[in-house]
Amino acid sequence: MIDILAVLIGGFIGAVARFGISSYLSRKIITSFPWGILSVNLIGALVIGFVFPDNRDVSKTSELFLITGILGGFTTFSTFGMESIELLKKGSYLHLAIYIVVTVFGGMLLFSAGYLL
Amino acid sequence: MKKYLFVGIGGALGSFLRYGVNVFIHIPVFPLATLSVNLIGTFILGMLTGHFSKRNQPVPLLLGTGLCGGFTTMSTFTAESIRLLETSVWLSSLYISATLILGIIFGLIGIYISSKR
Repeated sequence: MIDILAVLIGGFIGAVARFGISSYLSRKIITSFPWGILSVNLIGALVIGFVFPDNRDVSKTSELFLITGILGGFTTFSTFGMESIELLKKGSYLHLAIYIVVTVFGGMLLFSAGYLL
Repeated sequence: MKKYLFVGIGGALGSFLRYGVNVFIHIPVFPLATLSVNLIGTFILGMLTGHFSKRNQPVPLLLGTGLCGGFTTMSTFTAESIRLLETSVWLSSLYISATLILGIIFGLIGIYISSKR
């Protein structure tokens, strides 16, 4: 029961933080490039590397709260997919390639950086 | 303020459903659970994107930004890609390319289906 609660509360916090940060960034930086979700996903990659269970001594419930809940709710794949499709439809292939490569490989680098911190 | 509540509730439910999928689908060699949630979530977000033209309304915020955003995850995808990389470069490349290519295809199918109705 406490595990389910940890996921629900974590997911709430993560999604609200994602919405707040991505709407703030898309208001500040007016371009067609999806900076908001890119930033959110990169921050999430750094943090998950830092708190990864191999790395830290975390209980099952804190893992569910932090990783499954907060970070899972904070980062998103579905919006990343939609924004990639939008760039694809507009024919912005360079932006699309940059967006995908930075999200995936930049994310992996930041994960490693977080892990080593 | 209400917008944040819609996103948060959706995010909590989405994270809970993702947790449920992870409990049911559990194979040690390949992160099938995360692949499944990311593909299903992108497909549903595609249907919603095709159906609702405005994103900042209660239903898209609850179901799209909240539920689909919280259901899918990039941070766990990144962590799993790195985990797989430690055992097999091929398996990791397969996981990354399957997620990206099928994710975009599932999103496009979702948009296509909802625009046909």
